Amino acid sequence: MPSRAAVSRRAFLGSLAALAALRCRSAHAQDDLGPMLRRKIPVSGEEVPVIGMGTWITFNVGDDPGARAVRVQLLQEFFDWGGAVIDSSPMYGTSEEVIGHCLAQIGTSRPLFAATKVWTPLQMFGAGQMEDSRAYWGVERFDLMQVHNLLNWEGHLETLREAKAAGAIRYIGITTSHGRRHDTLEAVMAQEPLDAVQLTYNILDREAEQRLLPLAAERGLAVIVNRPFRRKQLFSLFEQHPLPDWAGEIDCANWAQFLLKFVVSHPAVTCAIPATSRVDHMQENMGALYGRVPDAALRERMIRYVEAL
Amino acid sequence: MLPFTADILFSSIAQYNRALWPLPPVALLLGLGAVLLTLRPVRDGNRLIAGFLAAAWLWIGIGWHMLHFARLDFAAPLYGALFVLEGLLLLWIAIRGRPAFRYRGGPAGWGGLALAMLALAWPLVDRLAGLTWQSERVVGLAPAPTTVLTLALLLLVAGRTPWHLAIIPVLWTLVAGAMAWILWIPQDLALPVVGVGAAGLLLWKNRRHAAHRSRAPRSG
Repeated sequence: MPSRAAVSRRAFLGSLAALAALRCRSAHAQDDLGPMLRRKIPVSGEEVPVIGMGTWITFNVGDDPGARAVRVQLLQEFFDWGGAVIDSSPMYGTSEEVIGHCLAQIGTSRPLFAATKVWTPLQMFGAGQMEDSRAYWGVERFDLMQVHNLLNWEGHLETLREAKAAGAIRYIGITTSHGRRHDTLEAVMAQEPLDAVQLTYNILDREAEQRLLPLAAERGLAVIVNRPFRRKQLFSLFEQHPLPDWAGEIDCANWAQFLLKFVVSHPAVTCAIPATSRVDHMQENMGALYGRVPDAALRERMIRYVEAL
Repeated sequence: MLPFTADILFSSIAQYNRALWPLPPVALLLGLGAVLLTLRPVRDGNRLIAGFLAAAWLWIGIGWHMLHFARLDFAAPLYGALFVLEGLLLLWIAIRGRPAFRYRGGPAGWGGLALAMLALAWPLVDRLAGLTWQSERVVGLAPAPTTVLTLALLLLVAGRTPWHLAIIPVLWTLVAGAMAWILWIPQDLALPVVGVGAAGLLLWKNRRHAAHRSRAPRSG
């Protein structure tokens, strides 16, 4: 199986120091590349790490004991690197049950930011589904509850607002993915009192830059980015090519970090939620939580580089 | 987009087979018996064949799709409903005791027997594809081999095959083929070919039967 961490010799040398530090981080040492990258949730000022974790497919492993054990390792690694934001949904099969299993195995002392969604056509089932999710995760309350893919968003936002007022959840939001229904998403963002929005954004799918990300900034919404790797497609497209020489300037030792740093360096983005089922890939992803981030000029250079591949 | 991987699918099948043990070998023997009944008809054999198929589709719809796999796949209840519908259609055939399932040679008969052997040998196909014996899918309990056996037995119907019985099995071969492509389950890529091929043979068989009837001398 090809490694997604296809690193050219020059890029590797350019980021050698960064890699060494990342290895130390992986070994849970305290010396590091500097402070963890965090962003504020605009509505509260609360800071969260810019790299979170998605659970679509990767945590839907049912009762398979071997696969569950790997997910425990995965989550342990995520927390060890300083991760906090975990996102899931009732749509993701047993993912929420498996998250709960992992959290119970690891212990509750971790700084978890629990985010899930409500996904049911009828508003009357929303509250029960959210309670089921809470029981699966084993958390006292969710930090963020989102309306999944805008499904019955009018009804569910009413329920979410009530739950937030009652203190059962801290933030509310809406989601979309694959670049679908951006017009509706924009209208809801403009009209409804929300705390967060989740959408697809990556180095090739940049439609959100046109209207949604500026609107989120204007409305003071946190932005969670899904599909930062377009699932695995961006690795398939790029991994046979070397990283540019200048990748070391932003402390990127592999393509995962290059792609994630592009996403989280957008000023309106709060957090990206890559998903993985492999511990080595988790280490690569979480490396993007440290080091320098590209400025606007370098972001343009990153786009030009991948578009020329 | 499917919310699970092939590894988890087969891990779930292994768990299902373990929970049902010793039903997998029993179901395989019942499937073999249904095929043998088309070769050596006995009294109420048609009811037994249709009854076995009905029980298999109902069980897979409820036991596999709705109760077991729905935890992993949000679409499983929909698939389960289709399987239950097919099971009810077959149950009605079992109650009526007709049409008759009988091997009579010819392209439809040969095709039916070939598909029946493929369905019964599905555990071997899975083994050759690299799966462990616990994950092997058995006719009567798993969707793919049961669908293939159903199409096989519909090809072995004496006279005209009721079309409505073939719609859901053919549809399932297409759905399962798409899943096989997405998850990369190479042995299941044969399913759409089986479905379309069986549909073509059924069409040919029914037209041939209609032509025979129109040429038959009228009495009275």
